[in-house]
Amino acid sequence: MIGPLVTHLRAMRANRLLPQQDQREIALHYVIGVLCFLACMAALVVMASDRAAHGWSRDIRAEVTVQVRPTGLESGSVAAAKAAEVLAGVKGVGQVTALEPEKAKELIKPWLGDAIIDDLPIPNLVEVTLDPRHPATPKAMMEALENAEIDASLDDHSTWLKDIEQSAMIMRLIALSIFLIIFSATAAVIGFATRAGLTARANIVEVLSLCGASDIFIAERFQWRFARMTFESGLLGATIASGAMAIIKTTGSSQSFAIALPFSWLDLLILIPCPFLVALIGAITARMVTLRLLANNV
Amino acid sequence: MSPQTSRTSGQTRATADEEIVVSFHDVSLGYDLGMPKALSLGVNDDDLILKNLNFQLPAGSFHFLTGPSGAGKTSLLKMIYLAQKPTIGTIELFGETVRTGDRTQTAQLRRRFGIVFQEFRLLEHLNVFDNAALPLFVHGESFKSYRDDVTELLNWVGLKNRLDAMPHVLSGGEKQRLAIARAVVTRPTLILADEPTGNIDYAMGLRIMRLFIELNRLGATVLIATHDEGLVRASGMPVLELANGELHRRDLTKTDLTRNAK
Repeated sequence: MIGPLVTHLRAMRANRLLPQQDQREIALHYVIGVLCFLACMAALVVMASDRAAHGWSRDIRAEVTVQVRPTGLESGSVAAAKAAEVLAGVKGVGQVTALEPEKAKELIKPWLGDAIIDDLPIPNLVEVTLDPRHPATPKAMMEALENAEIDASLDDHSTWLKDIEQSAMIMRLIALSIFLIIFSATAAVIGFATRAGLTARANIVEVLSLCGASDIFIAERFQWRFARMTFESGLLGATIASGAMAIIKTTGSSQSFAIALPFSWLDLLILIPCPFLVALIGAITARMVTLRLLANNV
Repeated sequence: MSPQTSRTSGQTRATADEEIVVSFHDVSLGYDLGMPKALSLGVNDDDLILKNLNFQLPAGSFHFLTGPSGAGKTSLLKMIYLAQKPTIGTIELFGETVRTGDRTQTAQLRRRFGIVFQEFRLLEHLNVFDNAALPLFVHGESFKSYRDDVTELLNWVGLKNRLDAMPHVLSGGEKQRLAIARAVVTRPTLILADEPTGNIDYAMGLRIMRLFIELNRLGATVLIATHDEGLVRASGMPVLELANGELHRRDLTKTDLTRNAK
């Protein structure tokens, strides 16, 4: 008699203890989705700018400028040509060009003007492009020059490198702070929503409590609900962020934006943990807020 | 003494009589009185809804709690089920002194109660079966373990054809019976009911009273707040009467109370 009656009963699922969806939750979905989108975009921009900084520093690292000081009666350009020849023989050196005095003058002109340029001693420069895979060390190049008895000094652009690396670091720090700000905002929003949810369902929470539910049991209901909700919103935000990145990458290849921010498809992998991270924040916040509010009850 | 001993009948019943389930010591309740203020300034008697209550409910006893509307019947029940803390005095439940603010103790003690609320307090978004099974679910028991028990209980209170119904389609009497089913589904040691016959006709009221008496026979301690004198007389059980904030015992039959008084 009882058998057929109960066959259609299904086990009560824990997440059904709190009633589903209301208007407030749609707004919450939206806000969390937007926050997650912003966090994802920040992550992508960091990846791209990091790559750009790497690219620049690689280019700079691949170039060395040598200043040759002519000895005795040698003219500057002859000394430079000689130095270029020596340097071309060093292992790990690619292209070597002695910078012609005329070209050097052109480079200085914008700063000093025409007037004094004839009297100015123009440095004799040699531009060295290094083999990017096995670059010659500054030490090896200096030794080669000394062996050939050429008086020269070598600038490996390390000052510039430091600057670029520093700005890359600042970029990372800014991105990290953006992350922290967005995640704390997420936590604040979830905290607010949990509070509202708890107030709106005070009646249900009280019944559960009167039925002997522990605070942790009740907190877990809110925890899972918000974990799920924030995960969905996070997934949405991450998806939209990858869409935005795809649009920039595919349509903007000829424009400066895409050059400044060289996105890579592999960057999208960094978005995978995003929904999980947001869900974790949502779960922890909801749990803590619920426990604290319940503890303040009678 | 383990909580199970009072639940099982027969030979353990004799020892259960010696166990006190509810014990009030000089308990007073006043509204809008903060605890510190009440203690430091002393309490004006006129501010108190319940004054200096001292009483005990032995295990396996059955009492009615009567008194005019607003006499504080619900407040007294609320203090027992720990939804209201007394302004002054201490309460012991199952031999344990109640610690105000100890949420873990509160939850644990409440698991031994079955409470029938005046306004039912069913969860509107759960069907009849899930509402009745709620305490078991909350205590972490599996659907498999309670499915047949809950169905049988709902059958017993006459809701076997309404398992899937949502509370808002139930009649007053059906809601009342569902509320009672939820209260007793865990086979509680102590059953508290606030006006359980308030919304139903006399015949149904008698049926529900018989249900409580039956549960009492099975070992539960029962306290029922009601202002339905007819039902109280018909059942012939002892009465605790609230009047002017004070509690008096009223013997109708003398049988139960004299035995408990020993």
